[in-house]
Amino acid sequence: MRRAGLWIGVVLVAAVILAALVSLVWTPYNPLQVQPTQTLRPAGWPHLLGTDGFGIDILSRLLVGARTTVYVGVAAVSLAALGGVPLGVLAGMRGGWVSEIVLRVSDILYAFPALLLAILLAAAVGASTGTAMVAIGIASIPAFARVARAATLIVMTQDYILAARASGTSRWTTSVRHVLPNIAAVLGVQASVSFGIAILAEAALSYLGLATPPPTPTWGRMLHDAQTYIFTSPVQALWPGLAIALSVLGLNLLGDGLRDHLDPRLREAA
Amino acid sequence: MSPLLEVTDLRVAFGRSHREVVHGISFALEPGERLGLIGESGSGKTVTALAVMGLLAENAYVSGSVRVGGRELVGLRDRDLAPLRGQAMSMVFQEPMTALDPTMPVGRQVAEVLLLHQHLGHGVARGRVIEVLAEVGLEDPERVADAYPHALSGGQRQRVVVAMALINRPDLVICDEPTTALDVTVQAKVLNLLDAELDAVGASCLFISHDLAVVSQLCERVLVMLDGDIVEQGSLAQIFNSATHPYTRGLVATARLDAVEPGERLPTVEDYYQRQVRR
Amino acid sequence: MNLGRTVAVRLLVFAASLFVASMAIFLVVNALPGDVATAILGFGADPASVAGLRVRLGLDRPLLVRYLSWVGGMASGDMGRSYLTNESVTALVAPRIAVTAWLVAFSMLIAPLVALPVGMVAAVKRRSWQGAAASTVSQIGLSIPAFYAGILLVIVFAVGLRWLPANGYTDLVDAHGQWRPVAFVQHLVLPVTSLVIVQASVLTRYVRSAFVEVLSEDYFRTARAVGWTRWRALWRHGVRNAAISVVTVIGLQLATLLVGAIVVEQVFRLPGLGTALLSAVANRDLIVVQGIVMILVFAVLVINLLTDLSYLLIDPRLRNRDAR
Repeated sequence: MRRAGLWIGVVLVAAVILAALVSLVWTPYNPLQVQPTQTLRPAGWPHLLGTDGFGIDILSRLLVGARTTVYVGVAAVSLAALGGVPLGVLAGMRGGWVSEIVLRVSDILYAFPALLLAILLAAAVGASTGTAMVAIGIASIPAFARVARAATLIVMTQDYILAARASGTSRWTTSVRHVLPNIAAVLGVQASVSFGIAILAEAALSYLGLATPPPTPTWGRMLHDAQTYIFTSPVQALWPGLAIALSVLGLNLLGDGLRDHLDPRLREAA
Repeated sequence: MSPLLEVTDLRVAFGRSHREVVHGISFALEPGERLGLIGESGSGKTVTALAVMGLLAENAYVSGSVRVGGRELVGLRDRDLAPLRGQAMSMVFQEPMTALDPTMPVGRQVAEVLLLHQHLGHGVARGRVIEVLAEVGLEDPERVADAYPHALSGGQRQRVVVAMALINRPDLVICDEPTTALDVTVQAKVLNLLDAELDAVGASCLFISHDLAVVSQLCERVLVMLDGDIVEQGSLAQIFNSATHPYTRGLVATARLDAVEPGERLPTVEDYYQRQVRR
Repeated sequence: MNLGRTVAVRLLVFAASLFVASMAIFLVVNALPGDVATAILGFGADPASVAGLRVRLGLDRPLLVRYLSWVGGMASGDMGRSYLTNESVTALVAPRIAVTAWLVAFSMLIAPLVALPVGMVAAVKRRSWQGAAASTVSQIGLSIPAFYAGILLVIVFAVGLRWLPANGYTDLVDAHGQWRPVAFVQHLVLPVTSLVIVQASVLTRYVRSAFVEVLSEDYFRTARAVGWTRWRALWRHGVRNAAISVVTVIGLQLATLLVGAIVVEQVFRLPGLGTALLSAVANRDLIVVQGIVMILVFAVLVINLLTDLSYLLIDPRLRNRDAR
């Protein structure tokens, strides 16, 4: 049962990535071409999932939407890891006031969810894929910092670290050679969870018009557009939401599955 | 007179694989008697105690028979068993640091045991709790009653646990390594307390320990448990003088360090009994 | 006393966080490139009128002065005037706070009421199908964005069954002083439900793991040994102990809940802070944006403070120690 979860997760995540890759070379129809004669077609043939209010093939838009999702997710998670992991490892290795400052700063950042940051950025410089990525990335920094710190604290008590420190290895070398490799698995779990959160955030932002501007298809924007026709053609609102939910479900299952395979000592950090 | 506790062919298995850890043991305990159950960790002695109390986890499979005062307990629903616990039978646990709810003053936890089984006014209950806390040797029982567990020492907490086990004057008290987690000096005091209180209440006791020396201070009769089986039983004198099973002889040797000549190597159980490697 | 000191430290941290947060909001909105006056007048506007507008809006003053006057105004309840309409931001925002507050408060109250029983079942019955079902439902709820849940609810209950309105809002007391409780509730049922689905799913996970832990605790076994049944022991001695970790999550979840509310307001066209915030963003009405964001961040920080302080009530071990 538990293993089944992991595999379902792997399959769902692989499907999203595959959809994003396929959309680079092929989509059933042009995801941008408005066809006034083909609007609001029901699911069937030749439009497998039907067409939207502009007559654009929904499946094609979904595939291209996966691209935006993966793109924003990867960028945001990388940004969060690059910002959060060094802070967390530093706090875990140094302790004392360094640790205290890192914790306090991440407390304050917790009060700024991705959406508020995105709103501030959108208000200041205008909404774009970039502002969404930066906002989601910054908002995910505290999670990485906390997990990295907790895992570092656990790793620091292990004999190999004590041996390295005792033999005079510098802090920097210890952290790169011993701490990072040993907390990598925990960070992998966090990356999976953060990716899921990033997808939810990106969807909300694009639904609100605070991320990638049209005409580029995004799942959130598709939901927004579909809502206009909710009384006449409610089915088309199902697909993009289903795509979001399945991707997030996949990443959550993947994260849970990986967590079960962690070293039990480190599991409590994740 | 019929036995107070009668265990017949008790078997306990765990999990999907039904791994059996207690292999059909039988023993009986007369009213007022104190019976020692001795064995190393993993021998199944705690599982036996929990099986009698009906406190095993849900993935445990119990078969055979456990009768307390003539009533069959195996197969009873939690709802029907619960009223017996704390009233007819009670238990003192090994780890006093974690046995009490950290979020509730200990006096209320003791009073709860009282109110759960008897219809008393809160004022009366409070008086009785203070009384019992004093009985188990806690100084300043009023203050202790209002304290949270974290404010008390291990010895004090174990006295509170003893008070909870005895307040309803049960017929059967199961003590599972009640002194193992305590300092040596505190150990002796808690043992003396148990000795006196069990007498005062007139309760029978199933006393579980890995330490024959401790058991010999409190019990007249001893069961020796090894890998889920009872391998030997008898009076203290029989166990000490004419044990037949090599494992028991090993236990006796390690408990009688006074018999060791100065300069000689201390005996271990393994000198007497080597477990065959299975499979 | 130690308790007093702990509370004082918490309050200090709260004040410092508030200061840092206000600074951050102000700097992001005002120091990044992009000029309000140009945005309002359009890119083709003549430089003289842009400069004039800047003076009129007070944008020609140094950053620090503008920050101090903004914060000073906020402290006395004056959040400035809209760049676009010259309307008082306080007057614009005040009636909308209630809408968002209703939405968040109902969700925050109902989510634990759903999550507690479901999480307890998931924990106690974790080895049988009831537990697996409870965990699966919460896993699915976690994957659905609140606004998608909202849209699905509209499709089923407003479009399909026609039981409830698809959007809109009715005040509890309307403009004529008339009580409208039925319409009020009717308009809130779907938005609150969409938030509760997500919140309860998150909480269920934590409730489950908190109770799984309680089930293995010695004090739980003690409680059963003195005569409580499994469920009553869990209720009497488990809930308080589990609450310590669950309350933390409820506190931390508030930020997510507020964000969820902003999006859900948009789905259901509720006239709350979220809709005001988003239309201000669309209009680049920066003073309104920074005011509303500050209110939301303030709310999050206050709740975090209350969460921290509530440990002191629940967990006696912390009362004479510094929390954390």
